[in-house]
Amino acid sequence: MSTHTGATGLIPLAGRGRGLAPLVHPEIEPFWSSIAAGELSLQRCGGCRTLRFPVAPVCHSCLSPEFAWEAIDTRGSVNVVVENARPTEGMPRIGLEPPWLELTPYLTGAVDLDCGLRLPGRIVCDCGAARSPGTRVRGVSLETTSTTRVHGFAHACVVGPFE
Amino acid sequence: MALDACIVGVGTSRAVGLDLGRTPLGLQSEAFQAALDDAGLDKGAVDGIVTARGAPYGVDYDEFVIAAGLDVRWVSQLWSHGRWTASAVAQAALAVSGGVADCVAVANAHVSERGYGRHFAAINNRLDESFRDGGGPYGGWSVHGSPGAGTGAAMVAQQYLDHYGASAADLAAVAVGHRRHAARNPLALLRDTPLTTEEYLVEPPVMGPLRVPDICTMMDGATTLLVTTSERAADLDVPFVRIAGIEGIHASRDNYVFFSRPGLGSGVSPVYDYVAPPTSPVYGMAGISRDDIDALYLYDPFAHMVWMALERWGFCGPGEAAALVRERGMDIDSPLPINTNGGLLAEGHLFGYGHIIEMTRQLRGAAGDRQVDGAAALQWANGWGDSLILTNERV
Repeated sequence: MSTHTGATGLIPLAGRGRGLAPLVHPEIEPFWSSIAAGELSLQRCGGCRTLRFPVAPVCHSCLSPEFAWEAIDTRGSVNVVVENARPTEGMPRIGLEPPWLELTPYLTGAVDLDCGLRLPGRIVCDCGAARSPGTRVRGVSLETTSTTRVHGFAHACVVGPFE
Repeated sequence: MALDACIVGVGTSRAVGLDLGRTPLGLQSEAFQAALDDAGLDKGAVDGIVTARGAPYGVDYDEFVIAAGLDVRWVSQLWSHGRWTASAVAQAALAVSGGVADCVAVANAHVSERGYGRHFAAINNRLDESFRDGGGPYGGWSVHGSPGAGTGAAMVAQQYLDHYGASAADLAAVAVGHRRHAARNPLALLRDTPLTTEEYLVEPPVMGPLRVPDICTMMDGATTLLVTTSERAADLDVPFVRIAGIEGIHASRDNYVFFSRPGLGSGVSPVYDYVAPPTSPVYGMAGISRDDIDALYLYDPFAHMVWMALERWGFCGPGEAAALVRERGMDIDSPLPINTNGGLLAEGHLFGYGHIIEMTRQLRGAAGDRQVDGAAALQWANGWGDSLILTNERV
C-alpha cells in the first residue's frame, strides 16, 4: 500500500505515442499500479529507510527484505536527454526497434528527482528547453502498446507550471 | 597460482561481413580450423573451450564440441553479450595455468539479423533483459525508448559532452582514426570506405550525439584463439605471445552501468570526476607500468568508449580524453596507437576478439603495414575496468 505524502504525482498524457509495454509480474505489480493511479511509488527500506530504484526485492544498502511502497514527489531536473532520430537509409537499427521506430523522433533520458534518485524516462517537451541538463520537469504517465502506462517526465511547456 | 598462459593460435572465419550465407556453426568451424592451422596443432590437442556468444546468435559450447568431434575436459560458457572479451581470455588463461586444461579454444561466433540471423526467428526477440524492472545496466530501459545498447550508450556520450564540453569534432577524431586503421586491414568491413572529418560532420546525429560512423556495424563472423602454457607454447613453431596480466570487469552501482567509466552519472551511478589510480592490478601482474604500453586495444561499439578507456586507465585525466585523441591521434606512429585493426567501428563487430587477434599479430611482428614498431607490451584496456596485457617477452 502506498502512503500518501502530498507528493506531486503523475499527470496522464495522451497522444504522445505508445511505447513498449512493460512486462508486469506479481512482485512488481504495485509499481505499475501506482502509475495507473497517478502516482509514482518506489520502495523505502523498512530497515535502514533507504529509498531505492530500480525496484528490487532487497535493499542495496542493508539487504533487508522489508519495505513499503511510497509515492514520491516526481519533480526533478534533467540529468541527460538524447533524441532518437527518424531512421534513414543505412542507419543502424540499434535502439530503434518497434514500437520505438514509429515514434521517432522522440526524446528520452534520465531525471535527477528532488528525492535524490535518478530515474529513466521519456522526456516530453515541445519547446526544446528540456534538451538542456538541469531543466525542471515533472512526472507524467504515458501510453504503451498495452493498457499499462509507464512514467515519463514533461516540461512546463506541456503540463503547465508545477512549482 | 602464477599466471602461465600463451596465445599460440589465432583464426577467423574465411570472411567476416554483412551476409555470408553461413551459419554460426559454419563460421565457427572455419575460425577453429584457421586457429589450429596457425598454431600447427591437431584438434585433438584442444581439451578446453570457452565460448561467450551462445545460441541463437552464436554457438553453444556443447553444439560445437559435438559438431567438431572434440573431447574436452573443461568448458565455460559466458553470457551472450559483447562485453566478455577479456573475461573469456582470462578464463582460458586461468584454466591452463591451473592445469584443468592444457589447450583451451576461446571461440566466438555471431550472425546478425541482417545476415544469416534473419533465418532465426528467435533472434527477433527485442526484449533482451526487459524483465529487469526499471531496466538493466546494459542500457535496456526498453519501456522508456532506450532499448538495447544503442540509446544507453548515446546517453553516456551526451553526459560526457555535457560535463566536459567535448564536441562533434572530438567524436569525429575517433571515428576517422578507426577508419584510417581499417584501410590497412584486409579483413576490415570498412577497409574500402574512407571517412574524413568533413564527411563525418555532415552526417546527422542519429542517437543523441552519435552519428552512423560512431556506431559499429553488427555482422556475421567468427574467431578462435588457442591458449596454452608457456612450456607447451615453446614446443610450437609460433612466435611467443604471453598473456602477462588479467583484470576482470568491475561491477557495482558505479561500475559497468551502460557504456561508461565510473563517475558520469550513467544509470544509478553518482556524478564526480573519476581519477584513475596510479596503477592497477593488471600492471602489477604483468610486471610493467602504464608507461610501458606500446598500444591500446579497447571495446569500441560506440566511439565514446575510447574516451572512457583512456580516462578509466589513467592515460589522461577526467575530461581530457577527447582532446587527447584529437590532438595526438591514434595512428600507429602516434604516442599511443589505439585499435590498430580498425576496432569494432571499422573492422566490424567481432566482439573484441578481432582486437586480441590483432594484438597477437602485432606482438608477432606480423601486422603488415599497420605494424607498431617495436610492439612488446599491448593492453586491452576497457572503460569497464577489464584488462589484458599481452607481451612477447619470455620470462
